[in-house]
Parts: sequence; C-alpha cells; structure tokens
Amino acid sequence: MRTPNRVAYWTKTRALMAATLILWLIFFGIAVYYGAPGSDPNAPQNELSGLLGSLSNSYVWGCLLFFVASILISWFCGAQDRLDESNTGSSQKQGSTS
Amino acid sequence: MTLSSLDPHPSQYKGLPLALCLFTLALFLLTGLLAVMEKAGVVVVLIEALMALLPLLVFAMVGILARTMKLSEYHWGGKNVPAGLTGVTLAACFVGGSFFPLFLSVVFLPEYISFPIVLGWVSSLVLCAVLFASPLRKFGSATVPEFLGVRLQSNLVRLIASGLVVLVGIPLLCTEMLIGGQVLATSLNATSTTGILLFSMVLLISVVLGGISGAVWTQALQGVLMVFACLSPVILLGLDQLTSPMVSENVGFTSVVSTSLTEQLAAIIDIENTSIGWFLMQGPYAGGLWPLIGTALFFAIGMASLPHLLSKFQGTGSSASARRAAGYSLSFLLLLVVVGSAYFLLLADERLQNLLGPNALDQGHQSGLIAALIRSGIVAAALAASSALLMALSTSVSRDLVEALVLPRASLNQKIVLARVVVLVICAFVTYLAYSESLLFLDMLTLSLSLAAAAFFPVLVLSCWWSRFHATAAYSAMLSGSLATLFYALAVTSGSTGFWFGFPAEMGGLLGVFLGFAVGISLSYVTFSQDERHFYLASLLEQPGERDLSIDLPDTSDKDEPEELIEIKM
Repeated sequence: MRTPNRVAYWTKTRALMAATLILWLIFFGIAVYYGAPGSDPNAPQNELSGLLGSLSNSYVWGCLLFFVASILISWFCGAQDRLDESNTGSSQKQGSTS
Repeated sequence: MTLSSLDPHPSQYKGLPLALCLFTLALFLLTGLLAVMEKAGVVVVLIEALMALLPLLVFAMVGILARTMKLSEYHWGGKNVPAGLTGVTLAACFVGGSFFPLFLSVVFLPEYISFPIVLGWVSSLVLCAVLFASPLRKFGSATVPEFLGVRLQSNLVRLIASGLVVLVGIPLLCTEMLIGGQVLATSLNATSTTGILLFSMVLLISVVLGGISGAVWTQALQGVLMVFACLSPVILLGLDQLTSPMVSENVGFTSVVSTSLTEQLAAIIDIENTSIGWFLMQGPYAGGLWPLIGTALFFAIGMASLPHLLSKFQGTGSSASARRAAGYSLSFLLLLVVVGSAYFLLLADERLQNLLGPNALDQGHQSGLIAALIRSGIVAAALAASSALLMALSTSVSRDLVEALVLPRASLNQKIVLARVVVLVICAFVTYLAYSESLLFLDMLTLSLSLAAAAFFPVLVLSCWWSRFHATAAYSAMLSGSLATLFYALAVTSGSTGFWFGFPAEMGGLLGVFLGFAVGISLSYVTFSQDERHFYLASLLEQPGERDLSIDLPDTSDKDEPEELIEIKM
C-alpha cells in the first residue's frame, strides 16, 4: 500500500484545518466584539502624528497581533505537513528494504 | 517512484541569496552616487531618470539570464522554489503597484478603513495556507484551471475556469500596467504612453525567456527594491551622516508635517488613479459592524482566490513548503507595513527636510532622489504583480485552451515555443488596452477581485475538501457565481436595484460566493454519470504529499524527474 497511514493523515489534516480556522475565527470574533471603529465621512484625514502615537490605538495592536498569529498558524501547518511527509518517506524506505 | 526518493537537481535558486545581497549593495552604491550628484547640482531630471531606469535594466538582464528550455522551469519555476523565496515573491505580487501606496499609509488611515483591510489581507493568506496551498501543490498542476480539470476529470471545467482566469486577469494586468507606466513616466518626465510602453517592454523581457523562473528571480529583486524604497529616508539620512558627521541636539523624529496624509500621498502618486484613491475618496464602507465584516471578508476571499497568487504555491518543493510559504509571505508583509509606515514619519524629520531642500516635499510635487526612490519601489511592485499575472494568464491560455483544444499531442519543444508566443501575444494585447485607455480598468480592479472570489473560491474549497464534488456541480457553481456578480454590478450601477445586504456594486462577489456554494453543494448530491474517477483523484489528496501528478508527457530533457501521467478524457 502506498501510504499506510492515509486515514490517519486525512483525519489529522481535517482536524488541523478545523482548529486553525476556529482559532482564526476567534481572533476575528474578538476584533468584532470590541466594536467596529466609528467613522465620520466628513471628518478630515488623520494627521501624521507619529508611529508611537498610532500604536496606542488598540486597532493597530489588534492588526499586529493578528499578523503574528497568522504567521504562527501558517508555519505550524507547514511543519505538520513536513512531519507527515518525512514519516511516510521513512516508512516507505523501511518497507522497500525489508 | 517518488520525487522524495531521488536526489533533487542542484537548485537554480542556490545563488539567489548572494544575488539579493549584491543587488542591495548595488542599490546602496547607486543611491550614494546619485545623492552626491544631487548635492553637486546635477539636474534633477537626470537623477530621477537614472534611478528609474537602472533597476529596470537589472530586471531585464536577470530575465534574460534566467532563460530556459525546460518546461518544468518555464511553467513551475523548476518545482523546487524554496519556501522563503516563494513567500517573498508571493508578498511582492500580493502588494503590487495598486496596493503599495496603501502599505505606506495603512497605519495612518482612519481605523474604519485600515482595520478591515488589514484583517482581510492577513485572512486571505491564512485561507490560502490552510485551505489551498497543500492540495494545489500536491496535484502538481501549473494553473488553477488545470488543477480543477485533473481533480474533477473534466476538460469542460478546465476550459470554463481558464476563460474566467482571462476575464479576471486582463483588467488586473491592465491596472498594474497603467499604474507602473504612469509612475515611470513621471520619473522620466515623459508622457504616460511612453511609460506604459517601456514598462511593458521590461515586463516582457523579464518573463518571455525564463517563464516562471525568470519571474521568480525578478520578483525577488523587486521585493528587495520595495523594502529599500520604504527605507529611503533612513538611507539618505545615514548616507548624510556618513559623509558629514554631525551631532545635533535637535535631531529627532519629533517634527510633525503640517500636510495631511492625502496630500503627502498625492505628492508621490496620482492617487485618484489607484486603489488608494478608491478607498480615500469613496469610503463606501464607512462605519458600522457589517461594513467591517463585509470589507474584511471581501478582501480575504477575493485575494485568496486570485489565480496568479495561488499559482505561486504550485512551484514549491513540497506541500509543506507551500504552506510555510504563506507564513513567510505574511512575515514579509508585516515587515513592509512597519517600514512602509515609517516612511512618512521619517520624511517629516527636520534634518531630512533640510537635506532634501525646500522644493523636494512641495505639495503636489515631490522631486529629487527621494521621490525617484519611492517611485522605483512602486514600479517594482507593479512589475512583480504584472509578471505574475502575465505568467498566470499566458500559462492558462497556452496549456488549458490551446494545448487542450488544438495541440493535445504537442512535443515539449512545441509547448515551450507556444508558451512564449502566447506570452508575447497577451503582453501586446494588454499593452494595447492600457495604451488606448479605452476602458476604465482602474474602476474594474475591485470588480475583478469580486469576480475571482465568486468564480474560484467555492469551487476550490469543494474540490480540495469534498470527494463527492463533481464536474457538473463545479462548472455550474463557477458560472452561476460569476454571472450573479456581473449582473449585480450591472444592476446596481444602472440603478435597477439598491444595495443587497449593504454590498456596493464592486462587492457583489460575496453574494456570488454564497450562490456558488449553494449550487455546488446541492448539485453534488445529484449524480449525473457513473464515472467515479473523480473519487479516485480526491482520494489522492488524502495522502501525505509524496507524489507529483501531471498531465504532461515525461520531460525528456529532464529525465530525473518522473511524473505520473493522468489522462483527461473528454
């Protein structure tokens, strides 16, 4: 058989995908829960008041946190795939030599 | 036999880190030389022209050096592009000339604009990493329509998807070409038509000989130039400090520019003609929870469905690399947001303003070296997105339309020649469209995103993750979603109907996505034929990424790369 752990891989992949999307939705939900930023279309554009001044804004912090969480999610998914591939590769090599 | 059991070829990208370092060094030297020339009183026109043209010359030369006669390199970049490199090039194409000004200003924009945009951008790459990257790479196809055709065992699906790729890609490519050409023309003090022609020539040279390989090399260099352009105030200050060391008590980033962000942006680029103008001027999603969710969803699903971004995942070494590439891409985007946000702040520094002279930062006109640097960054971003779009379009047309319909048994050499001819024809056609300025392509930017979402997102999700999904459901979902999007846009713009759920005309793609899912899922429960091959193909996705599937004949010029042959029967 080409991949003995096919079912396990598929189950794990789906679980991983579901967990990732749920985590991502939680982040999204938190962002939405704390309220959408209000706006006044007639208000003048923001002056350039400095990056540190902007960082006191919770929305900017939210965006940065979202970025970091997303990077970690992508790397975690990739690492999981690589682990499965290397396991399968090594099991195949053992199978072919025996 | 599997790919992993073989020793891979020596990667053609092995020397890329060295090339990137040399390019960065060359940019430093060029900037220093031009700064000295500017101080010596050389005319500004010459400095701006040199800063605009020399990077373009490098991109063209790299495109020629990356020439190849191997089909796997021309269509996939060799299928061994490292994850980090894929991430950088993906980010460069993601930003493009149309979003680059937004990256410079996103922190300073009103929250109701910046927050949903950033949420949408980041979410789109998460969706790509989680949903699409691994399955797309696993099938080893060169284009999204080819993936759908192989997975669903249908040439009809492939043809329809290819047509939709063209429909989505042409306006996007025209937009990038217009933005790149206009900014280039400003740097050269030439007419916009000259700028567009020069831009398209560089674009053509950089990809026609090397295909995806040439595009990957040039996009990596363009990514470096984009970061360099954002850091240009720091670099100029550093160079000044090196040449004339001076300690001043008042030096610091404390001064505040009296002009608004819009005026600062207007000094760099004609904002009415870019997407940033669309956000700043129209602001149709201002305020409220539903506009926030709608805009974020629109960007998340729209950007995750763009064929030229998805095709980046098909050239990586493995499905694990494809997913990690999305992480690298997010890292690069974060870097670009941070250094891009610093641009206007540093521009406001007192010492830099003294250094640049009184005329450099006039409202409505930004001249000199610093303006030339940021314009080079915008042109590089537009070139990166254009090369990815041109390759996605031409590969789809040559493989999914011409080869599938006219030349199904073409040899590998014929395929390479065909691919080059198609690149040439599409580039000429799009240049003509951009040159004639007969259509409002800039207005169609967001509509294209909308159309991509409606046409591809439901079909890709269901193809990748549901074995019951079949060809009839696929093309029904694609056609219904895209037609609904177009009809909604037409109906809203003509005044026949108001906004549904608050979505403006350009965002009708979200409605198309829901319709596509509904049609695809419901039709999947109806069996139209007894052909069960798509179940077998779906089962291949349920294995770790150990195989590489292709519908090509084995590449005789590349005997160490075996490919499994899967025939698609009409």
